[in-house]
Amino acid sequence: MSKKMGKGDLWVVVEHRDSELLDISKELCSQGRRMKKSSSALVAILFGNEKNGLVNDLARYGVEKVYLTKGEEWKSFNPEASVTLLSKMIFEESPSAILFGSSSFGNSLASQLAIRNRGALVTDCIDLKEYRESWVAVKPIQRDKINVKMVPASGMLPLFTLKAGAFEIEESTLTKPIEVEEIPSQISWEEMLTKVVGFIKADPQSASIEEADLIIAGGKGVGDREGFKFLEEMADLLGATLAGSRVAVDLGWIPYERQIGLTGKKVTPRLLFAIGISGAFEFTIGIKESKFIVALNKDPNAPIFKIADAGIVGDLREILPRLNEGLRGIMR
Amino acid sequence: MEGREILWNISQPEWMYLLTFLSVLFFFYGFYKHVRFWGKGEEEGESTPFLPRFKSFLSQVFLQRRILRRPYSGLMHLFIFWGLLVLFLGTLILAVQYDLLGPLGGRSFWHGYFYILYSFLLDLFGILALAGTGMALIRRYFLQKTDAVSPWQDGFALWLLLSVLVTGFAVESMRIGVAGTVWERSSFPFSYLTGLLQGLFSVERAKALHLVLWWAHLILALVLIALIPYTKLFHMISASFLAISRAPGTRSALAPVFSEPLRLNPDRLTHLYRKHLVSLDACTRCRRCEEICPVAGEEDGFSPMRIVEELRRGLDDSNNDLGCLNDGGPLGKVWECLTCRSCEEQCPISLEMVEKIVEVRRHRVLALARFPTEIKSLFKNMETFGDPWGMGKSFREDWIQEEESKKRLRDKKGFLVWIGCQTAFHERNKRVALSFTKLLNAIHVDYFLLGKEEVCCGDLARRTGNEYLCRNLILKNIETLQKHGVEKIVTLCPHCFHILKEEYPHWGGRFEVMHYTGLIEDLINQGKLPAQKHLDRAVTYHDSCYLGRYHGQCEGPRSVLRKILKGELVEMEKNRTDSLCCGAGGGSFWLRGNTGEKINARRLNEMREKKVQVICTSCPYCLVMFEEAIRNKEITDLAVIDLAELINSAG
Repeated sequence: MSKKMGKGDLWVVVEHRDSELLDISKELCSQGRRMKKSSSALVAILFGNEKNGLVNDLARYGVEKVYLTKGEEWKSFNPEASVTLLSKMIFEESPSAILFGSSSFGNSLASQLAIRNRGALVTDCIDLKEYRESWVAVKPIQRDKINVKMVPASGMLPLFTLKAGAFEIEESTLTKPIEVEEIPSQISWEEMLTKVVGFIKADPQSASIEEADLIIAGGKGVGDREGFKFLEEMADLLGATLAGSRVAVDLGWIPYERQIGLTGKKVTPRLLFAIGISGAFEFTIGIKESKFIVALNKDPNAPIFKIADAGIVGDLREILPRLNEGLRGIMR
Repeated sequence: MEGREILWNISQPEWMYLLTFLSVLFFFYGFYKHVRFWGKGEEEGESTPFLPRFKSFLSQVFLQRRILRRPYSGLMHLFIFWGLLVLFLGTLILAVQYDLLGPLGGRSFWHGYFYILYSFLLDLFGILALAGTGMALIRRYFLQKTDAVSPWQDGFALWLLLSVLVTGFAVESMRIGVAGTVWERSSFPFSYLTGLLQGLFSVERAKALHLVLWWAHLILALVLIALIPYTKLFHMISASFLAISRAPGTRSALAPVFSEPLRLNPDRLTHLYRKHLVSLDACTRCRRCEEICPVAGEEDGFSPMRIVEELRRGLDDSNNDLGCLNDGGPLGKVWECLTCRSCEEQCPISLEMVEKIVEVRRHRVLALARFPTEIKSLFKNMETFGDPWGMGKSFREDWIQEEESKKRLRDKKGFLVWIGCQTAFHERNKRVALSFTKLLNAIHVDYFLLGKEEVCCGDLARRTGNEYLCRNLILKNIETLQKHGVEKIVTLCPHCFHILKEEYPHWGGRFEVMHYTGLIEDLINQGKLPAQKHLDRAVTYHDSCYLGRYHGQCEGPRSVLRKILKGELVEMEKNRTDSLCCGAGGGSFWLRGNTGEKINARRLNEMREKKVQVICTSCPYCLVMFEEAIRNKEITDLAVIDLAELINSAG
């Protein structure tokens, strides 16, 4: 295997959800294209039975060849089966390196493969550059305080998991025809020790507010628990996560885990609605990392409008029902 | 002849010596156990001059200054204290006369005026002791709420005391009734008693009864003495030790504990000094701390007294060498303490509860890593960004708008104005910094600013038990301050003021530190800063704990206010050193805290009743806390304004 090292293709193990390629996978492909040697090809491994659209997407980001899994069993992700399959494939095809997303999917596959196939694994890379015959990876350690450079040992298969957002997504300018092939290696499903039965979709309302992309936060101005119902309805319609200010928590309208601010959590959503929140400094310190803030408040002088990207002055009991009505029309 | 036969009517007095010997033995064994416990503490490095300590000892122990703050229990304690002290000394004199001077063939002084005075004083103080004990019993069984009554041992000690006193008087009455001189019979309080008894008993029966009572009195008194180290009566010794071991007037600078190398042990509290252990021993469970504490009051909630009790219990456990790991119970509540020191202010023996609470927090943070989750990001912020907000130094100079102030960043002349994180980053408090510097700019005072070079003063880290972090912050600041040759510092925040003034010296940072209210007062008094009576609103001044209670600086800000107010300054019921904490101290601002009625809201209620229009503060924490309470109550006719802003409003 080691003889072929560096000559084989560069693999990316891509992830997708709801028939769409994840951003991290686009990063993987873009980075893979930048890294690979001209003599080798960029190969994507696609688990699951869906390929519609995905293949074209992969081509767009410069993938030259896609390996598809075959059979109904691959419909849902089975870590054990995936590792077994990849392990066989590596043995047969000797890739020059494999890139994974630094997700639980990528990290779990990469770490198991590193053990099975004697791979040199660097997790959570934020940068990857060519270095002599191999690559040098940069990864943050000590709670992101220090970056270290790591080089995989020669003669070992380099495995990298890449941190989301650290690598530029670039579409390929060349339009090469993409080769689609079913994975020739087979595994025996009977020998697998685990079987995936199904998935349960996370409820955005019960998801952690620190992870949420879309947050609807209510404060004292919501008035009472009844008022919070409008917010709940809106969150339902948008698939958003509910949160609250300290007052809302103290008044028992929302549990403490959902509190934003100094004595609560700091949130980083792409969109945040601050409803009935005056915007005291102790609260706003928790939302300042949000990408876009929409404030709704009766008082046009409320300090929340100073940091909001968009504002609505008015009574939420008039506005929210109408807003929800409109949303219902759009979302359905 | 004035005098009396010692051991009249007593046969076989040798038993008395045996019993006394046993009692004293028992006493000293108990005493030894206490001393052994104290020995578990660390030796204190620095010692302070003896004379001031001795003076405060006299005033605290013999004049009972602090206890007398409460009239009933104060007087009660004073009576018992002086009563027992004189009775004990009297008995000692008797023993000296009989057992020392007698056998040596020396002259007896046990007659004449000495004896008359002796008898009178002993009787008088005996009655005082009796009155005090009676008051204590009444208080215990009638005046106190049943749930506030301390354990039965404390009650037992009282009954024992009462029985000793009563039998003492009865013995004396019997003796006087049978063998007393004429003047003795007519002396108070026995004239009535002996008269009564003579009518009841024959001489023979009185003598027999006297004998019984005499032995009863002796045994009860010896039991009382023997039990002193085993009951709360021991505070007479431990509290005295405490009073003399402590320099007066040290305003709770937390004892320096950071040793090199840092010793940490998850199984024990590592930084308790001997005096801390003595003070744990001296607590009498009087509950004054609990009554005054702004966060105590809930059943099974936070209580300074119960923390002291729990520490005493936990530390004394010989299997558990200075270990206090029990999270359930009182120690689990240490995070609720505001470090406001109301308890210490009230404590009759000035027990330093805050120090002990911080020590428990230290243990939890440094050795166990067990603390509220909110604190984690607080620590991280201070560690990485040098401020509790996690904003970073690039935002630290945002409040500086005036060109004149910007110059002060470059031109390092005069004294340093220390802004502090709460002021530099908080939107509301930035306005205070602006106001204050405007005042200084207007009258061309030489001052300068550190700007981005300032990091958190360390108060928060210290009070939340992260001694390691606080040390790093302090050392960093001292380095910066020394680099610029800073001699005098004026702070905007009382918390920065306290730590810079009292606690930086331990790390080698000795500066003249002032709170800005003091500077304003000086500038006005020197005529440099104009002040005119321009403000016609009902204003009250809220004392910050770290300025008022910690440093006694209560009158300065008030005198400034009087110069700018047209009307009278409104005083809250709790003011000056008795002021109520705003609820933010000791890290509580950054903690979630209790969910009951907020302390800031409670304070606000009183202000509403007094029709206050403006709350004047001199602390960035108090300011923000009251603003929050006002906002939450949707009050429109009450404003919180900092003293610097009020003066600036004169224009």
